[in-house]
Amino acid sequence: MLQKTSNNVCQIVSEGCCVELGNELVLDDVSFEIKKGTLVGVVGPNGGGKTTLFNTILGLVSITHGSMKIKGLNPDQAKGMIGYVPQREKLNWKFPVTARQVVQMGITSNTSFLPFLSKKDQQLIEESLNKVELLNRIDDRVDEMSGGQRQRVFLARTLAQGAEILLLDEAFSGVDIGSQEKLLDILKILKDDGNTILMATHDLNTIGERFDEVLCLNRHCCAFGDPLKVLTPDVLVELYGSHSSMFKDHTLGKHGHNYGV
Amino acid sequence: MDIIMGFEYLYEPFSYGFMFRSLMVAILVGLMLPLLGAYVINRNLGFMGDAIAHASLPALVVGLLIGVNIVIAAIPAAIIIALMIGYLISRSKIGEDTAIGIIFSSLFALGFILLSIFKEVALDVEDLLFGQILGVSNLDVSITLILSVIVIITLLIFYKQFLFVSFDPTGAKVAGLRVKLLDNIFLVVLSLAIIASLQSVGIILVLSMLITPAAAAKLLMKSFHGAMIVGSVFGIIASMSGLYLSYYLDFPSGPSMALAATLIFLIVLILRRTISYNN
Repeated sequence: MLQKTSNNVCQIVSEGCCVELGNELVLDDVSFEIKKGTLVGVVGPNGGGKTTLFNTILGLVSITHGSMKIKGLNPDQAKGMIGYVPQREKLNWKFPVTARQVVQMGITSNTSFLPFLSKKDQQLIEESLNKVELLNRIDDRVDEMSGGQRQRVFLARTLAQGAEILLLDEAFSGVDIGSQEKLLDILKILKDDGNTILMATHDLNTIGERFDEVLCLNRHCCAFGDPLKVLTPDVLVELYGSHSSMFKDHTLGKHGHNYGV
Repeated sequence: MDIIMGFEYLYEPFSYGFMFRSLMVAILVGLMLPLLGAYVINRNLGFMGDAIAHASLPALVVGLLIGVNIVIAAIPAAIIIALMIGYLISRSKIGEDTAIGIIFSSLFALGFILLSIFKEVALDVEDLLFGQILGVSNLDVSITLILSVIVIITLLIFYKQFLFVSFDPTGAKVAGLRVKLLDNIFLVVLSLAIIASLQSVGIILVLSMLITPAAAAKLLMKSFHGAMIVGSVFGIIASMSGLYLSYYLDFPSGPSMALAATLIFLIVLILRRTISYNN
């Protein structure tokens, strides 16, 4: 399942990664290698460790055993190299921020003082929003945009930051199907530009068609690889237990059993 | 003729030195509290602002006992309290509201016990609780001015960072921002502003000037910085109204400012309802 590739093209390498939160083993011996320029879907039940895996890559939680390398560096050394699109529930929507302000956060460091922006920064913000096709909404408030547009604004933020590895946490929650497609189109463009993208999602429908690889996570790594090959009924049972019948009837049936069944 | 007489009511009081000093303090307080209030109302920090004000009482009493200007005495105490509350918020197992509540009610209680032990302290409790802007000294004006400058410059310098950590704390941490340090800096300037306002608004009603003008501005303005600026304009109108009411009607200045702020809020609320109804 694990394809061995030379380290210089691998952006993220996890080897036997274990993470304990409190006394609970949330990630258990998780291993995978993610190559540059791939779009990876991270699936699994709630509490299966998707967010913890992201927090590990981001250097927000410490590893108990094993290792996690980002471009060969430890996560805390790689801070700032990774662009992060948080779950919408993690944001304080009471703050009336505009698209310009959100993208500007991507270039806000500990030392960027005063509220004013240089011409170069203004340009960077505009270019980034242009790439996600939202330049025309630059001064609109993000809390008044649709779910899909919000996600694109946050993608623009990671672009302004100059990140080449992008993590999207539950990017499809509250996003309608049409906007999901649009978001996936933009992710494809970013991927073809050489970005490596990990997206946590509950939506198994899009995985097979639109993602290069899938990482199935239920505390341990149930499967990793080409979604059309690895999303077998056995893996789904391992992921979702008895509830997987719902997915089997729904997802696999609809797609003509093309997940290697 | 009548109009000229009307204007006279506005500027006549300032022929007295004490009124000029009070005006200075009113403007500074009205300017500075709503700037912080813009963050406070969006981050649910109102209770914390209230707590900082109440918990500073023992420090004010100690200041009076040892003969130091009470604002100067309260500054270190308020900073310690703010940082302690900040620490508790990240660590507390009993819930942050509860932790803050326990600290502030016990310190407020301690202040009153100290007052009853040291009866020689020349202190009008009512002034302390409800504000007495007409009694500010030259030293008070200078201290308020210095504190306001510190507060406003800090808010300007860290504008981008404060917005980032307030809106998206996890994203800020990921971007390498020192979130905890920034939160602590914010709490420190918040406590400085509250202490600087105690004499004019009083311990009990600082909260009103902190949140009400900012809330009115939020109803009116679409952008965050716009809300900050309009909030300060409302704050200055409210604090100056309070000053006039104290001068002409001998009302305590804190409650006058608080009610003026509430009135502004209600007018904005009604205007907004009417406008959105008509559209």
